[in-house]
Amino acid sequence: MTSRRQFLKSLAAASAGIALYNIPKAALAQHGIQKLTILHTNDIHCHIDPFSPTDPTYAGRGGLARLSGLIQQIRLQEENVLLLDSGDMFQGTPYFNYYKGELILKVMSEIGYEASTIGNHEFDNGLDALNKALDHTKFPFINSNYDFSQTKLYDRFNRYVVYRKNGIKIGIYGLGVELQGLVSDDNYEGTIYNDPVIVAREMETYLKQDKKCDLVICLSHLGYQYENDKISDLTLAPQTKYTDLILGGHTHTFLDKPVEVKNADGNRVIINQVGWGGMVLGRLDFYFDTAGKEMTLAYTEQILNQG
Amino acid sequence: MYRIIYLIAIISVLSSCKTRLNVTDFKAENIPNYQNISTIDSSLLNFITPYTTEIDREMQEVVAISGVELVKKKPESLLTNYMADILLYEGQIYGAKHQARSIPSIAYLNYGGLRTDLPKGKITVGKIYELMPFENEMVILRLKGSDLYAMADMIATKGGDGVAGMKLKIKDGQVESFQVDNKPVSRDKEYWLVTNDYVANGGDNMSMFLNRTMFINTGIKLRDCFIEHLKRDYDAGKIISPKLDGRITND
Repeated sequence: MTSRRQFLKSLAAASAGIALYNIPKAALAQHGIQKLTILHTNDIHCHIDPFSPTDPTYAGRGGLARLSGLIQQIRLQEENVLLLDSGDMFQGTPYFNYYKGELILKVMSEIGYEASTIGNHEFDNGLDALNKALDHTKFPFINSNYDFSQTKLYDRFNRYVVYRKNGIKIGIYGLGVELQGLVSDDNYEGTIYNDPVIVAREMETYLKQDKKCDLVICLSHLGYQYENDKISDLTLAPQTKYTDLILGGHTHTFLDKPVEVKNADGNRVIINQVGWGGMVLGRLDFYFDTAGKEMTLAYTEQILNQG
Repeated sequence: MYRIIYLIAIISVLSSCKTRLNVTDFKAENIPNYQNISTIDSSLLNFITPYTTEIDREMQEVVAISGVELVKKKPESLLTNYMADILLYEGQIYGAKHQARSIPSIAYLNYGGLRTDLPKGKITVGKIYELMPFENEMVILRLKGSDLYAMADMIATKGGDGVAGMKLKIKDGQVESFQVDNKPVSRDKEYWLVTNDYVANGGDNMSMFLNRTMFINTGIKLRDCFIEHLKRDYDAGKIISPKLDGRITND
């Protein structure tokens, strides 16, 4: 037991100050069905408090303060919870004007977010400001299709992250929207945008085939759907082969429930997006068949890879 | 240390020979976040209270006194005229200081960009945030007269807008006459216009602004610029008292 504790400690230290969450109570082998609960948000836009009671459209709804209450309730009930976000947590309330990205990232770290991708609004105050804000996050930012190697942010993002939850292995990659025309040129200077479809194919193959992940998740800030032929979650999904779930953002789309489409092999891809401002919490429960399998790795682990 | 390496070795062996788990079942629910469903996380609330207190204090600062209620209406209104006048004034100051010949003669402030009315009496920073929640920046464009006519047509279609430095007569949704500096706009001449980056990038159906021949991004947040302007007037003891002047008429 001591050695395991030591190991966890060193792992925590090795993962550059990123906290380990949800270490399960039972560290013993289990048989049968294992449940994974994925909770997710997108386009929080610095909404920490609920919308003002006088708001004509959204009075009393949304905000992370109340969403956090909901998340903590679910955490008490479920053993394997993964909390994710699809970007654009910056910009939208005076919290951003006064505290830049710092406060919202502190708040999301406090709530225990485990990963996010980057949205276009994270560039609003430029790369230096983003760099500074990222000092305040305790969870990794995942992006696979922006090349930051020519910028000061070259070591700030993970191309992918692999999590283990009670033996379930989850691979996550991230896709960002084309910045040109959306963000002032000098606010993302040097950042190269790579084709999301090519990158998605590369990342999902790596995570499923090489890393042997049980579930591959794409955190996307591409947007749900467009009238023109701009790449979106709905046009990406049919071109993928190993992505199981696309958690989207950017278009502020309120889906009543996740949408299921077919990938290039005719298998299911689930797409979800939950509006904005913390007005909805997306919840997806996956049940895995673990029969006959020794679940030796019964703790939460984060393997971080600098891309 | 050896123990750690040993454990890592075991893990890699285990994970390399492990086959993938299959999803046997899947359930999903998008849960609305409002008071009947969830309660506020009190520890999170404690965490943000110092930040909120600081912001509230700043938001309560009075930056102007208005003698009248400024309500937004079409074709023109006290609010749209007043705000567009400030934009033109500040755009001219910027142009005079920074770009020798980029002094705008007209301003365009999209009606939809103003999100509330301003009350009679004290106006706070918080109210200005409500009025302009967006992070738009002031930009100055050089446009051909023909594109200004396209702008005027769009204003006519919309039935009015926030403008300064121009006189526009609309009849039956069409432009009847269109003047800048008390002269009819010449299609071949070029004009400097100050506006925000949102419409300059074609937002609110203002795609004619994309035809500009020059573009100056001031990097000044519009809201900051308005707050500074209001504060200066307030400190000088001025009271807001705009009047309608018939800059846009719609028969």
